[in-house]
Amino acid sequence: MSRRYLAWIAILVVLTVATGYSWYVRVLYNLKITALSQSSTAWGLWVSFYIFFVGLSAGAFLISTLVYGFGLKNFERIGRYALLIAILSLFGVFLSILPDLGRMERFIYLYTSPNFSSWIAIEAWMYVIYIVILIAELYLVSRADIIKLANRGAGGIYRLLALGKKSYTEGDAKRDATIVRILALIGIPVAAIGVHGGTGAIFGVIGARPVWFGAYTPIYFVLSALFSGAALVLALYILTKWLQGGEIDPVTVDSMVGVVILLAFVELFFMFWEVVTNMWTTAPTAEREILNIMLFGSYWWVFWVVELLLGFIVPLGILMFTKPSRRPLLAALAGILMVIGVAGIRFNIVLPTLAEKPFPWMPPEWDIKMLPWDRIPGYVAGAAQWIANFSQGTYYFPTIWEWMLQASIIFLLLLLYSIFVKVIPMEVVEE
Amino acid sequence: MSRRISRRDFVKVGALLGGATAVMLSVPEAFRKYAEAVRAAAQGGENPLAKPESIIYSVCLQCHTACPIKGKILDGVLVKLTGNPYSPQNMTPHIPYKTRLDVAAKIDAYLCVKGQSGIESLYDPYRVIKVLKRAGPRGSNKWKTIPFDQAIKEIVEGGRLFSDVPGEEDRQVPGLKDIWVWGLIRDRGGDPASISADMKSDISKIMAASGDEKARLVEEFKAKWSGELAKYGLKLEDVFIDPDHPDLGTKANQFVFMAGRIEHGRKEFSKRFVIDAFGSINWYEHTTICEQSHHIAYGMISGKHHMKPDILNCEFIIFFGTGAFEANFGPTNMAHKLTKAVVEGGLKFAVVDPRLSKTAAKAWRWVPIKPGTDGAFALGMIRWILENKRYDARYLENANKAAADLDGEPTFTNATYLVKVEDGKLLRASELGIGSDSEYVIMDKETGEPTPVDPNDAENPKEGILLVDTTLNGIRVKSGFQLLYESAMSRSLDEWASICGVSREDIEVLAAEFTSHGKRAVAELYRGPVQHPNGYYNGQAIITLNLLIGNIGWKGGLSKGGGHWHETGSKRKGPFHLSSLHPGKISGFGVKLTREKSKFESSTLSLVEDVPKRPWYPFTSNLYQEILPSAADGYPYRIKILWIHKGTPGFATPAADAQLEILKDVEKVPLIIATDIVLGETTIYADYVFPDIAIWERWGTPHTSPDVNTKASKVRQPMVAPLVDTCRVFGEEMPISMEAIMLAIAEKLGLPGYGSDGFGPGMPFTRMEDYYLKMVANIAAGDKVGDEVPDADDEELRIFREARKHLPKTVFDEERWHRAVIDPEGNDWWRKVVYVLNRGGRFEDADKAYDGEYLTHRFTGLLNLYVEKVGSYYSKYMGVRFSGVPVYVPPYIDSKGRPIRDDEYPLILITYKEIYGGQSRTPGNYWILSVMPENHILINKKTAEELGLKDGDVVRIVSASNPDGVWPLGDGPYIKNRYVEGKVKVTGGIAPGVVAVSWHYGHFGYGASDCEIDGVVIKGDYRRGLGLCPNAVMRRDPVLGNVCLTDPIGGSASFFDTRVKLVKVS
Amino acid sequence: MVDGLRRPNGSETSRLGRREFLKGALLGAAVTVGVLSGDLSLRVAAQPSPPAESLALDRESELVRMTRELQESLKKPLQERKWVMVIDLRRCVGCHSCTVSCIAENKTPPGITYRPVMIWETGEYPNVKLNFLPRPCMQCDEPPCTSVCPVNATWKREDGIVVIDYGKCIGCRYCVMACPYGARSTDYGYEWVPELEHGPLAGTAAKERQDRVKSLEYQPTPWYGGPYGRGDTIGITRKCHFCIHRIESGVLPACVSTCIGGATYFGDLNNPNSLVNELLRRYGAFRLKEELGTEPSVYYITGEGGASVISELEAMVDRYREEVLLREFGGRFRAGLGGGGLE
Repeated sequence: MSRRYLAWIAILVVLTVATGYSWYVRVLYNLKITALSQSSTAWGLWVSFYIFFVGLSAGAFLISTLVYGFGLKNFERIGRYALLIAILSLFGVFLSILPDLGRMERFIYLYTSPNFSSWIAIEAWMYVIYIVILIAELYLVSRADIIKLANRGAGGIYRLLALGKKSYTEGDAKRDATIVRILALIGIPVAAIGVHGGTGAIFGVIGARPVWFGAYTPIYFVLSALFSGAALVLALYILTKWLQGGEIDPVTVDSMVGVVILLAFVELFFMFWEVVTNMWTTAPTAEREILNIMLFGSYWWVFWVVELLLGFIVPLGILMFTKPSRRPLLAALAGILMVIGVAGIRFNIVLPTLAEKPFPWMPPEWDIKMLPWDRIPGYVAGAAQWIANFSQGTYYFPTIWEWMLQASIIFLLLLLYSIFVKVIPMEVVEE
Repeated sequence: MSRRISRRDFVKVGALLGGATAVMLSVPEAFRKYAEAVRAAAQGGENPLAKPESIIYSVCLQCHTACPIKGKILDGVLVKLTGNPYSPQNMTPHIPYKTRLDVAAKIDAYLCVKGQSGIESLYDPYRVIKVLKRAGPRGSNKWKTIPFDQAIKEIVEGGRLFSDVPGEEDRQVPGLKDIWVWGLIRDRGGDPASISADMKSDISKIMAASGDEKARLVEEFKAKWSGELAKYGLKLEDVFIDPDHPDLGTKANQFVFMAGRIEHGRKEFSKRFVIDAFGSINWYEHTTICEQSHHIAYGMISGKHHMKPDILNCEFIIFFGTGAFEANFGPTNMAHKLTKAVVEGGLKFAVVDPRLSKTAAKAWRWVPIKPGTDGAFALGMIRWILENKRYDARYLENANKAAADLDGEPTFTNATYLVKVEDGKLLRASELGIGSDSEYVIMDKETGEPTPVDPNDAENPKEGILLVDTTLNGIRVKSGFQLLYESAMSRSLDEWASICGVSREDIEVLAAEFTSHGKRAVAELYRGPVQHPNGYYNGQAIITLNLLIGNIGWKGGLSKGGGHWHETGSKRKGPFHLSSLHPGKISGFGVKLTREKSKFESSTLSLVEDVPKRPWYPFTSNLYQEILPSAADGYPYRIKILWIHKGTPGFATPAADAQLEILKDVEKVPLIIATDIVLGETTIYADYVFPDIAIWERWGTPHTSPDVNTKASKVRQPMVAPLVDTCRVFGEEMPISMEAIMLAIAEKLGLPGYGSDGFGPGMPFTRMEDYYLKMVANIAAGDKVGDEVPDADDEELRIFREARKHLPKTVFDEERWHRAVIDPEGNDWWRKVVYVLNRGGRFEDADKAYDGEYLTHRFTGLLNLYVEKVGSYYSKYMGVRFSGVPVYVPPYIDSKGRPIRDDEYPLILITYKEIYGGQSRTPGNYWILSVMPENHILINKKTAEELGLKDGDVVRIVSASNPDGVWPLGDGPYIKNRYVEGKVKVTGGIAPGVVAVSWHYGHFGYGASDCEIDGVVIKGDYRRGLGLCPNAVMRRDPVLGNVCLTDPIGGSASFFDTRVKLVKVS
Repeated sequence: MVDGLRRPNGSETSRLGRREFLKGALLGAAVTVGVLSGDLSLRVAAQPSPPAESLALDRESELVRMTRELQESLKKPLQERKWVMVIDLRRCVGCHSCTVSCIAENKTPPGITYRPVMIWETGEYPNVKLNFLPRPCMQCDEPPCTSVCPVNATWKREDGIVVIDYGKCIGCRYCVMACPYGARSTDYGYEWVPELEHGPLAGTAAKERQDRVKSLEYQPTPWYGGPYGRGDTIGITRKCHFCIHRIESGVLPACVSTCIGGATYFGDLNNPNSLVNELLRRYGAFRLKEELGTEPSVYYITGEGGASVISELEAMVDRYREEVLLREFGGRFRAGLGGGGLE
């Protein structure tokens, strides 16, 4: 293992543990440590990262179907990366939404007494089906290489994974390819409609929230999912190779860049019309005012800086005006920036919408919690307040604990990813 | 300073202060039991709170309306408060008095937001439960806890009590025994009761005399009493404050009892102690910072101090500077009737108020008037009514009872009585030689001749001419009505309107509407118009509107209220006639510190000074704001010991900065003791703070707002075990409280009327229940024989015991309670007492409210349209004679009656009260605070634009007498200077040029600041101190310097006149 | 769109008519209530007959009448009851007694208000108005909040009350999002009373007494499932439930019995003679956001001023969007680009 790679792993371990302290605080003090408890907003950072990860997962999976569903050879090298990213992102989904539940320990009720008229319950089950498909697919596409590694005596883990199979025949390959193809094709509706469209539906069916409500929401979710998933796969493929000192395949990079640019423009196209139509109306509709907040209100920087500048302008500039295959690290940076931009989009889906209360004329007094002393030790509350002390009324800004916990999830996922790419044969193993 | 305290420290504090800890440790256990019980009952859905065994009825006091409440108690914990359905204040009509307890248990009646929150005041974590003694300079908020007995010993005996406080090492603090001169006399064989009575009668002779005669009587008095006292080895100066002015009274008067909120029950209890046992005449409550001029105006006109519209049957009401939904005398009792009458009964109402109150928001018409000009508005209306002959002439012409009876009028006025222009006195028939001294003169309506009239004559109807201006026997006379006419005509309608800052149309429309409903219209007022230096006249003018249509006593008119059964036994003279059950009662005498109810001319001080140093107030009483400044000036005498009970002069009084300065000065007030449930804003300046029992833990018999037309006697009784520590007095264990302190002092000094034979032979007065239960028995017995309540049956007795089984012996001891209600003749009133206690009082049934077109309990008889008492009084201090009819006087005047010009301060500051807060008792009610965490400075949009202010700007309010806008709290470790600063709220709901700040925010005491007890810092809670209190910037009187502006007649303190400026802070 | 302020235009009557509850009940004639024997004969005896114009003034208190009707309805099986609340906005005085009474009754923590009263100002000086609007849970017939619950922790009872099983709620707050009335809120675990250690009663007292005094809401009842302590509601969603624990015992909901303006009424819509039915017939009513099809069980009476109340609500929505949101969140648009453009 390269030193570079070891250093990377070490840094991730440190960061994960350091930020992981927030989980302890979360368990001890429940949602009190969030800025939600101090504003009239009920969903916040963790929910936006929940849908962010759902999007990444679905997007990454759909990229993988280019290979396994439609057999596009240009993308063959990133196929397994895409699947692994889809799996880990789904783990991120779980990790992000779990602390957001006021009763974490009761999440099991989603499976023991689900209500299938609720899209959250539907989703909870969809994720299970989806992850089974993902794992099966990843296993099957790398089975040949696992057996090879097992035979080579590379480690007990591979013998275990090979399930006692010693040889991998042409016939096996053909059968696996067929199963994978079927799984990939089944996976498309599961991911696009069930997983991500469904997550969009969680929002889209809420008639009480005008900006969320509507058929467009799930579609928009899927589009941005594709975009973010592709960008992340691109970035992680390059970075992994760079860290491992491997060779970065220029064809793959160029093909991925093409896809990413295309998706970015489709995304922009949708965003443009969403903004323009809503801003053009003279009626003070909820949509217009929420866009107003998003564009020019307290959250302006999320849209202009995170979404537009970091998420589109800078990375598109990089991808379009440099030669990605020659300067792959720049392309990776562009990919990461796009992913961050999509995180901004997710934030803006959840939060500005909640600025509008069900009854707008509820006086602001109702939102000011008479926060008494509490069992929260000073440093916990203080740290939370320090960054979120404007969270008042409808305005929500996450506390340091929310940020830390979210960061810990990202670090953990990166760590797992870095370990898995070491363990799982990500590319065809040479004989 | 505020070091973080470890849990260990807290436990220590708990051990020191938390005497109630043991009681409360049982709570969780109680709840477990409760949960099990509920679980068992769950199948049937039975709610234990709906059972009478969980209920004790009592009376609220979060505001002075004192609504009957129903307390729901579980295992000794008060869990819910709601309205008492037996009470006419909480619902209309209330349920019949005989309704079974289990039926009533399921009916919760209305109760306002403050009443609901009482639980939070009761279980306030900042409750004081041990005796605290100052451990630093006054206001340092450093305390130490001391045993109750030691505290009593120290305040009784005095001495170098604060030798550990820097600067006070050698200060000799006077004790109660030093000034209880009757103890000296008694100890040397004298009989205080007879001597004091004797002295008192001699003094009254002196007061009645004038000129040289007065001086002679003084000398005579001194000669007589120096001789008498010599028998006991005493000199005049041992007994009297100033032997040259014996009318100032004995040294006992240097003990001052100053109550903020005290109500019937405790009022009588404490008066027995202060006046009848200790012999000090200085017993006060807070009325002048409340609405005293309103009471005085009503009192001067009718003799009753308070009247209210019969809301349900009214067709038109004008609320002057008050509402029914937020403050006044009761949102709970008035709001539901008002809204009901509007929706179902066709009532219309108008609100005349600079601010759009919630009442105004629902009004047919809101008239945003300039503060303090209500009298001008009313005079404008009077002018219109007179000009358009819309007054009830038939009613006003009636000059005696017989004439009124003939017209079916419950009342009549002295509108036609002739007034001597020269001295403002009513012309007596004897002066014309046509009748007696007690007869007045009218110009007979038929003959046009002067005719004698006896107001009470029920036989010979007399009717007079209304407008009279003539000379009889060389005496220039005018009728009262004529004087009113002249006053109303002194300005044109446009001029009246311009004074008020309203349109002429406003006056005309209201006047026309007011006179379009016969007797079913009422002009109602409370605090707004009267808390001004011109308050009395404003009040009188508004009440006069009612006289013009003669609505008093009519259904739908003005009601004196249903009244109450007399808890002191005064009417029935039994079964417990409390004032005569006082062996050895002392007759307190002398001029009160505030010179109230006294005329300067009667006092011996008039022999030595031409113009008094400070004003005298012959017409009013309870001059709260004047107590400390008078003591500071030593006029008419200095005081030694001040007991502040449930009051906060240093916070609630206008120009509170001046009051605080006096409180801080140990020279001016050598010893301050306080009884409070929390360390309040003023209490923190006291030397000793005694814990008091809270409303829900104690007794009382408050009276009812007159908007209730049926008779009601409310009984407050302990619902839960007091949190405070107990003490031992007369061998009895009892919670530390105002009552316990009085009993303890009585025991220590041997005051008459206390102890094992306190009420008479074999009738002990050693516990508070001995007193209060006798009051309850009096209520149960009624005002006459045959007026008794039924006996409680066995089931009721069972419920009674069951509901009280959580109460400790120190509070509820059935055998002891039973004994207290066996009257001197041996009659047992116990079952009747239980019947009353089971219902939280005694309430007449709703169907007794009306008697045909009249109110059953109506005011009858003479009403003074012309108030002779006031109109004939010449104030030496001001150099003017007052007026007997309402006149317009500008509101912003000094104590000499001269207008104050604060031209640099262009805005008028007013205060008001949201329904969310009591005066200063609700800062710990977090439930309410969540509705309105802080108050704002309300300002009209236009004014704000002129000043460049917008919503949320922080500004400081400054005035001419407090140009820095500061609360001078000092620079202690815990209590520091503050500024009168708050956030601006721009609204269309206030008159331009006026800024309004609601009361009951901006606390610096009451748990809002840190304090130190026994060296441990107890952190304050910031939530309790949010917002601002503007009292410190309210205008000091430029002449007197240390007191706010005051109404010379009614005594009301000015709350709504100060000219201020807003200085932007951020 | 948010603005659910449609005036019913007789939709109530048609609704009631559909159910045929009003068959034979004449307007005003149903006012007369039979005197019951026994416990519930609470009416003041021997009333002099009131003059016609002051119709209801001398009758029994609404509280007594509603209590009596409630106790009658309890004799019927659950599914035959239909609890509704009627709020007469003409009588609401904006006092928040209901709000605080509810906090006291249900021991809700800071940040949770089952029944806020919204107050807003409209108009310009001197023609200003204050508007008051209490907002309990609407107990919708078609509740949008229950179907979204992923774990079946909330449902509509047969008598129309929407309840939450506190033992089952996972705290996802999806129902909070789904409620168009803002009637659901999350218990974040704050407490009213400062940590005991800070006060003179340090250690135990006030805290035990105030916060651990549990509401019946927490008690194990047939409606709420298992035994709950304060700890068991932390992190989950809570809502108004018309005080089931009171009504099931024949006591009116806390907000109704404490409403000092007498503005809040409660009763059984299935009882054609009930006070609530009488009021709806006499005055007509509107419901909030009816266009969402939620069929609320809370009716608002506005009387003749109804239309103006609704237009004021609408004006306030617009003003809120243009002013309050602007203030809280900033933003530079006042009108749409098509209309006004950038300022």
